[in-house]
Amino acid sequence: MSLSLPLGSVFRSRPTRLVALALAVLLVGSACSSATTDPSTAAEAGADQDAATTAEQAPATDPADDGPAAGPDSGQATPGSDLSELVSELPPAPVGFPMADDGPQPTRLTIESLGIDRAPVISVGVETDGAMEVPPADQVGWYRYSPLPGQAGSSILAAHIAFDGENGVFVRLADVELGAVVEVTDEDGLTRSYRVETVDRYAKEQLPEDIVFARSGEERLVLVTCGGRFDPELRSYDDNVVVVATPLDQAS
Amino acid sequence: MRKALQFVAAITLAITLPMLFLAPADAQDGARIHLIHGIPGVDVDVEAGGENVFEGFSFGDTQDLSGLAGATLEGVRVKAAGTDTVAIDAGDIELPASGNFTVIAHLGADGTPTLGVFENDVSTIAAGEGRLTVRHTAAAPEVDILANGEAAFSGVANGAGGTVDLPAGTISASVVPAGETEPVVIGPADLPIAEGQHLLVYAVGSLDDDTLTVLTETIDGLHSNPDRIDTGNSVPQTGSNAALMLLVAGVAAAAGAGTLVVARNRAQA
Repeated sequence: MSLSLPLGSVFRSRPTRLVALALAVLLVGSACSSATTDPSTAAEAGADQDAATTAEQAPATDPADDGPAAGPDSGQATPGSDLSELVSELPPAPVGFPMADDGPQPTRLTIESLGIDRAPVISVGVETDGAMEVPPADQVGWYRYSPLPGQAGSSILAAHIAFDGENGVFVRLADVELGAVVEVTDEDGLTRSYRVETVDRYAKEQLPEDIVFARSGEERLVLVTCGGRFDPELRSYDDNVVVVATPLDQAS
Repeated sequence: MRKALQFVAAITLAITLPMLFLAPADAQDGARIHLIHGIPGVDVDVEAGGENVFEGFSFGDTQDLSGLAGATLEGVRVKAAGTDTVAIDAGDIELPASGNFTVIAHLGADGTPTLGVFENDVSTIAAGEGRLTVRHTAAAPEVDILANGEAAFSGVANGAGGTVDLPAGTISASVVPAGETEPVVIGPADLPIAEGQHLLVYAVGSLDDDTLTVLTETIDGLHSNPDRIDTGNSVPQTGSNAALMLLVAGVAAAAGAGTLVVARNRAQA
């Protein structure tokens, strides 16, 4: 049975328990011709299915394991098939310098029911004091380190309720109704539609980070502004209003 | 024979798919150990315990050794692919039980193949920043690594490197002989520093053979979040729609009351 070529190529693409074991058996077998191992042991272990089953259930007692190397006392480092099955191939390390993979950024936000009509959206980051950057009252900030709309995770759009006496784009965000449609247009002109699923208020230091700042998982649009008690001395609100919207085509 | 192969392929797939999902969880429990092939133009087989662990390993290929965390690999030998010619006789290798490591097969300064073991910094990165690691794993003398024209790392010898956190964005990177400004042996290249990501750049190849290039590796999910979101420093003005509606409602109510009063007055009259 000339297994060497096809099994070799399967192994190269992705080692797995069964194939790795079969290959290990094979390698022992093929090594015999050039090396000094006793061929009979390997040939007996070549009863593939039995060997494979045994290895699946109790890797440490692989019947093909009569090699001179690591014993059971060295943990997982048993030779041959057991090693192979604990190793997995990953995508290759890229050669050459990487490129930034920037997608089209959001540029406009519309929430018709709140009278927000194509409000300008700009990219924002983090202030030196660790707070998220928020643009002037008449603009919406897309947190540039959050996913793009359309990607997995929470894409964050924040705007003022009011700033320096001027009403912000999100002055009425707390009043948005469940099911209201939210539209985001990107710089390529593509508009994505979402519907409002939840409207919640949290103390600023108790934002649910797993929802607001999720970088993977369910695709969400997270709209954030301020709310709750206004402290006139600190000129600051106690709470954040957090509106979560999900893609319209997925919503019922 | 073909049917047998299809069977093997089907079994392979059936076993591989669940393993793909299991792998990250396993990795988090113990160590994360990746092995990268960093020698251009040489395909190798890697042997441990007297048997090949994997074969036909070529430049850039990466293997996940996390499943072997804490184990000792005995008699590790890197051989020219398909031969018994030993390129690196690494002896016994103890793999760490925890931590984040990259093992790279690379050329030493004099061109001799070697295995380098590096621990990667996977601590949390400040919001708005990314992390850059550069490692000298090429057959070349000491170098300076320039970021935006300034020496970010000086006098870096083969087997050494450095790590720095930078504001997210793009930097121009280049590699020059230590203490010199030219010739630029690698780059200049625009290097994207992605927020919350650790980018590891390995200079590989050989200066003499004119095969110098870089390999990269990334570790994601090290970001942290902004401390807070301040979205207001004043109260909404009455000109707002909400306030306007309240105002309108108030006026309407007052008008209604007025009408009532008038009606009552009329009735009294």
